[in-house]
Amino acid sequence: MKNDREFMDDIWEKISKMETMEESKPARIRVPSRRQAIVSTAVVLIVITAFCLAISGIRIPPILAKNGVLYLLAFLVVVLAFYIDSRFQTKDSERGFEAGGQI
Amino acid sequence: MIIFWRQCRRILGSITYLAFVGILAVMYLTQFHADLQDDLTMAEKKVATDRYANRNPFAKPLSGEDDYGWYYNEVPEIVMQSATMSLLFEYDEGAYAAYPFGFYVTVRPGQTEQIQIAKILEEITGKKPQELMALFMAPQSSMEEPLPIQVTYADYQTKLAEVDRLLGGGSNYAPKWLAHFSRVPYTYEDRLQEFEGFVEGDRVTGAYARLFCDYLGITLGLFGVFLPVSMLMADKRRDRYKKMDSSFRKSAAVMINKFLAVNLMMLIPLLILAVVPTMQISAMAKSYDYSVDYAAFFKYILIWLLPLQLMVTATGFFFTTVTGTWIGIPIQFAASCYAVATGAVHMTDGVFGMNLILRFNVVGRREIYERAIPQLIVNRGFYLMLSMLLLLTTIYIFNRKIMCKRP
Repeated sequence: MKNDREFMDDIWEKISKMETMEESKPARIRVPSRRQAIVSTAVVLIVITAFCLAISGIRIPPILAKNGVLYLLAFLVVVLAFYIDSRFQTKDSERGFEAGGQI
Repeated sequence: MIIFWRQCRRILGSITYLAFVGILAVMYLTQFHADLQDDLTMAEKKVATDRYANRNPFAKPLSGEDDYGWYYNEVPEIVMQSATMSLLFEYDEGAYAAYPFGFYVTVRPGQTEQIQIAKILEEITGKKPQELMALFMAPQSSMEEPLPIQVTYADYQTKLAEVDRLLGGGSNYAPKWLAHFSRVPYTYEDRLQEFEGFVEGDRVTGAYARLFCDYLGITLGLFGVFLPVSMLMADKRRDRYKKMDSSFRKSAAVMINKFLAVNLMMLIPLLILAVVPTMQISAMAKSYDYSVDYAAFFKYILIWLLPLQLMVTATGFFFTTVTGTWIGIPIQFAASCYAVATGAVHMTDGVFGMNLILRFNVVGRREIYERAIPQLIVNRGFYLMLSMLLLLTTIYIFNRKIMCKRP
């Protein structure tokens, strides 16, 4: 038979194990670096755009090609910048804040 | 004031802002600067003209030239001849040019639509398309011979609107595009009047300031909304207003400071970009002994572009505050695309209407601009008022959310 003290020690041990498990959870959330984010987002956007243009059968005549491509590129750049701004913070402390599951 | 400068510093460090400034610079260089450079190269030669497609706007037109260029003007007789000819050839090929979303697409209608178009051609000319084509193909025929048009202009417009409907819309036969079938030649007197407007009315820089606003207005309309939305979304993520005082005054102060900071930071690159052409054009105008308006670019930016910028920012603020999402970006982007597409019809004729993005894709033409000034005042005044109304509504909603602790 365990006495009260041993019983309480068991309980505390279990609680502390549970806390350790909970604390370790946020550490498993992987926040990609800004560079990885930029490259992966750019690739995804370019693939999606190429796919959309290919299936839509839109033929851009030379007179429109210059401006059309220019505006398309500008759009991709600003979307990418917006995504980086919204997903990845510039300070490590803020990144940690996000990773801690506050959002 | 501290909030204001803190916001400005935050914006300066934002990647979205840097991307926006980069895009403005690229658009300036590839669109406006390219056009300006062509004119300055011509102006350096100090000759009036090589040919009218490549004329020197700084030099007085010479009388007795063969060609002074042309402009679009809806003259019914010319429209009916040119548009019918175009429709006949496109019918014969079975392929029609169309610009449904501002991009060129070739429409190939089905057999039923082709039969209906043939019927419309027959109603207009009294002859079957095959007979008309045979007339053109005959060895002794001339393309200069007029087509036999047997309907009034009103009926003609209705019939071509029906053709446009059969083609799915956005074709060259839509009523708003018909004027593009009618090109009218300029006379020496027209060009002289234009030149006087350029030198005396616009004092040179004003003519280019309108073109500058035309190009950068598109950029501002399409890409300006990203920055305000990005800023408010960052505030939301960081839960900045958790412990904020819920008084209306405090909410108004926060929102107004943010609004002013975003607009100031977006205005600064425009004003800096305007310095370069002002200096280039002024130097060239001085070499011709013309008087120059050094403030023209800045005046046009404040009157022409600032209300657009306020509207774009207010839209971003409003939708982000109401929904807490980035939905304002696609909404504003779609609105701007629509404005660009509808404005494409009126790029040079000074018809502004209530379009958000004003188009004036021509250097000079002061007389057209002067006719359009009342429209410009109403248009820009409307968007200025609407942006203020949106900002007030945003402040009210923001305050309500602070009171409920759900910003």
